[in-house]
Formats: sequence, C-alpha cells, structure tokens
Amino acid sequence: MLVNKFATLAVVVGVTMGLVGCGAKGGANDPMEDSSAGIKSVSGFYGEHISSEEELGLLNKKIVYFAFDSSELTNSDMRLLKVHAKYLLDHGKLKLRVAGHTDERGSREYNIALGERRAKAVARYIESLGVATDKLVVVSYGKEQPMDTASNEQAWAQNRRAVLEYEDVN
Amino acid sequence: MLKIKFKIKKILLLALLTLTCFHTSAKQLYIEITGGQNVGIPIAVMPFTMTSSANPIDDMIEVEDLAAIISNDLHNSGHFHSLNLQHVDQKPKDSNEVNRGYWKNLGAANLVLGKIISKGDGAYDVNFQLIDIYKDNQQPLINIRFKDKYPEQFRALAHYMSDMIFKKITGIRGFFSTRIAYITMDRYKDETIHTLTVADADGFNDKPVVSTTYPLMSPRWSPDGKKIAFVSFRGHRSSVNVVTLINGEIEQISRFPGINGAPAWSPDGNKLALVLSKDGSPNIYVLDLASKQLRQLTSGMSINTEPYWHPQGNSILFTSNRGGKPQIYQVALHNGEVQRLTFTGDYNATPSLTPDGKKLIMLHQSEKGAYNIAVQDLSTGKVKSITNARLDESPTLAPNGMMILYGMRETSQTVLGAVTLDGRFRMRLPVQDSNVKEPSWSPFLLEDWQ
Repeated sequence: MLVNKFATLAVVVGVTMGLVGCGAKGGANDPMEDSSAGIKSVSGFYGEHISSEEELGLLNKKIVYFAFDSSELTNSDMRLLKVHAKYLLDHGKLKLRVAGHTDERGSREYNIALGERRAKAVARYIESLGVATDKLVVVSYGKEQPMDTASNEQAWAQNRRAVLEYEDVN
Repeated sequence: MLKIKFKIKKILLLALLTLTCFHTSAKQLYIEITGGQNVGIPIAVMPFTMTSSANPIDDMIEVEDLAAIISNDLHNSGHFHSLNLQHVDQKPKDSNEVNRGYWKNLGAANLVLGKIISKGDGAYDVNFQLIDIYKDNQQPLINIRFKDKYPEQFRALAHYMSDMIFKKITGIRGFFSTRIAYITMDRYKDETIHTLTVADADGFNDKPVVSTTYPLMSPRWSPDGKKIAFVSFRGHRSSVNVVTLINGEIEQISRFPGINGAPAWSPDGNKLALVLSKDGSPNIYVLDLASKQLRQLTSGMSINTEPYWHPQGNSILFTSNRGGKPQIYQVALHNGEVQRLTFTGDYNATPSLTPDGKKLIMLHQSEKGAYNIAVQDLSTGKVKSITNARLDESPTLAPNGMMILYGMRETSQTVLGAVTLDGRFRMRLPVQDSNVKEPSWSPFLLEDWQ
C-alpha cells in the first residue's frame, strides 16, 4: 500500500516537473541545453532523463507505425514525438510536415481519410506539448506511397505509418 | 489470350511505316479474356473487301483492319461471340450472295459484310451491311455507305459501326466510341513517374495527359467529355485540379489545408462535389464552378468521402463510417437528409449507379475478407459480388451501364480488370512493365459520321 502511494507521488511529481519543465534548470553539463534557446531543462520537458545521444537517435527516427484500422499512439511513439516537439520548439524557423499512410487494402479515397487520422493523431500530440499549430502541416497519402510494395501482412505493417519531415517556414 | 489479328498486305515494309497498326505506346492497355469466352450472340464479321483504284500507290497504303476492330469490339463487350473465320471459304460480297444455310451451320446468328472503295484521291467510301441469318428474304438490318473517309478516320469509323451493330441487335447504345482514363506508375531510376493517360475504350490511341513525379488520383471525366478532374500531390499537399484535354491546360480548383479529394462532376457539368477536411473531419462539399461558391453537404466528425451524383442530379451517394464502418449513404440535395443504402457486410465503399438508377455498384468486402466489386439491386437489397480476386478496387461503369472497369492487385503489379454486370464475362487489362490503377470511363461522346 505504501509502495503504491509512493509510486503515485513520484508520478505526480514527475508530471508536474514535466509541465513546469520550461522554466526549471536541469543537468548543467548537457550540450543540447547549452545550444537551446527556450528549453532549459531537457529532463524537465521530457519528464525523464534522455541522454543527448539517445535524443539524437530519436530525432533521426521519423516514422511512427500503426496497427490495422488504428490511429493510436503507443507510449514509445509519444516518447519519440516528445523529442521532435522539443526540436521544433528549439528551432522556430522549422515546420513539421506529418504525412499519414495506410496499407493497400480497400478504397483509395477512404484510405486518404484514414491516413489523415494517423497524421492528425501525431500532429495533435505534438501540439499538446506546446508546439504552435502553424508549425505543423498534415497531409495524407492514403495508400498511394507504400514503403513496401509487396502484398502481405509484413508489407502492410510497414505501410501503416506517419512520416515526419521538416520544412522551412518559408 | 485473345490475339488481335491484322491483315498484312503484300508490301510488309510499307505496312510497318503506317500509323497505329502495332502496339507502340508505353502506356497501352492490353486485353486478355479470362472468363466467359463464348457467352455472347454468335456473329461473323467478314474481312472487308477492298476495291482497287486506278492509282497503284493507293493499293500500297495500309488502312486499319475494320473487320478486326469491329470483331474485337463486339467480342470484348461480352455480349457477342465473334466467330473464328479461319476456315470459312464463302466470300459473299453482298447480302443477296449469302448462303444462309452455310452460316446457320457455322452457328452464326448475324453476319457483317463490308467494302472499302478507293476514290483515288486518298479518300475512301466504306459500305457495310448487317445481316440477320435467320430472317430469309429480308433486307439487311443495316445497309449504309460512309462517303469520303480518310485512313486516319478508319479506327473511329470501325467503332461507330460496332456501335450501330450493338444498338441494332441489343437495343442498347454501344460504348465502342467512348474513352477511358487511367493512371500508370512507372519506376524510372530513383523515382516513380505518375501519368494520367487517356485512350480509346479498347486501349488504343493512348496519350499521356499529365505526367508527374508526385502521386495523382481519382481521375473523373466531365459530362461533356472535354475535361478530367483529378487529385494531385504537388508540393506535398493534396489539391483538386481540372485538365482540359484539347490543350492540356490545368486549373487548380481546390487546395485547402487538409484533404482535397474525390472530385465528382454534377450531371450538368456546372458543379463539382469534393471532399475537404479543412473544417475538421472529411466532409462532402459542392463547389459551383462558375461562382466558386462552396456548399457544405455533410457534417460531423466521421469520415465522409467518395461523392457520386445520382444521374437525376438531385442527390449524392457517398461513403461514410458514421455508423462505425464504411457504408454507402445518400444525401438529398434539397434538404440534406441522409439515408443509408448498404446493409450487407462490414465494408462498402466507392458507390456508383447504373444510368437507370436501379443498381448500385460498389467495393464490397466479402466475409472472407477479400475486397471485390459487387452489385446491389436497390429495390430488393440483394448484393452480388461479381469479381473474386483478393484486392479489387475503383470500379467505373461504362455509360451504357453494361461493363465495369476496375483495379486489381496481382502478385507483382496492379492491372485493370473488366467485367459485365452479371459477372459472366471477364477480362484482364495490364499495361506492359507498368502498374495501372484507377480507371475512369468517359460519358458518351459526340460523334458526327453522317
């Protein structure tokens, strides 16, 4: 019982710190922190500690995959998107284009709508972290641009995705 | 495989130099019958005879094989069976030379005879007769002479003759003089080239209309046959555009944030229904092309897409998942009232209607999970799947309501398929070394042969 209460307290503290992260001081020797304009506390923003190596790795990951007929984000998706959100907040001249895709089954135009749901799920989550709406663009390609053109479950899983691509504001 | 046969004249070299006879274009559709070969009315289309002219040069000019085009048109409609005339030794030049017993024996119900008469100045007269084998001592059903036609008109003339034959025998207007549009995707080095192509209904005379390095979708012919609306992904955003066929000019119609898709022309050609998600979820809007006024037709948080105008112009069918899964609905234009049309199965999309408004054609997912083309009788509600591969899509109906073209996924490419509404006669139409998708059948086009 006591352990649970402790755990709850830890979560509350962590979330609070995450929410207040934008002003608080974090790890003093963090190189990302030195170059960042607005976000002083890396761990504050993320609500956990993410090393700069891992952060860089996550910044290079620009694809979120989805289950069949779903536009839900997993916890690990959200973790990835937090890194991109921070990057957008740190680099005001950038916009992020989120492209939604589906697998090849079914109507093309209906799949455009399904792809948009995926792209919007990603965009909305990023916006919820403080990124302005005008820094995000959503487009859906439906089933028009598959990553894998084979016709099997494996290929279909690769094609159900949202892809992040940075654009200049101009 | 149905091979298209051409009569080769004596001087082969000159034949090779002439227009159109061979499959030369990169985006041409090939036709392969895959089911129901012999289901139609048996007809014998005799090779047209050619009278010599005084000018020997005229004899060396290869003209289109009219009988072969007519024979293929009729056979590939699924309503006729063009008899193989390889071993026929009769050569009637006119209806009064026809030995009816011979043709009855061969199994022919109808006979087509034709004559090409060289006028000597590069022009030709073309005679043709349609004879009913079972009506002895009767005038031919058709007996007509087309005057002063040039070789470049021959292919179109053959299609017109096919239309006349089809109408005379079945009572229904033929689709042989219509055109189709489709999109091909070709890998070229590192890129995919997307091309919107138009061709004759038999796949010949294919011409690229729009060619891009970004995806193109949803081509739709205007009711006057002069323009095609389509979706483009230029600049990583979707937009609805209209291309004018005669000059290739493209007008951007809609490029709002979010989805711009699924254009559908009103029967009078003055409005375009389309899908926009700029106000939240994808909904159907109607755009007046002259005033550019936009009217929102559906609302709410569900997906609403694939508008299709009822031929009477007073309602629009569309696909919606407002009930949980994609089904087909109909919205009345005068009061916005929505009615659900499909109740069989968990996935029904891409609606279209036969010209009489009685049958609904759609993409339907079977119990086994395959996506097939199906026809629903709107008075009884009965649904019949008329294709049976795994991943079919994009049905488009011929303007006479008698044939459906659609997209098919095969192991290593996407091809087009064709099927009659009863599902009996089937064809496969690949583009060589390419992927083809999203066919769109033109309306009846204006013809002026008289």
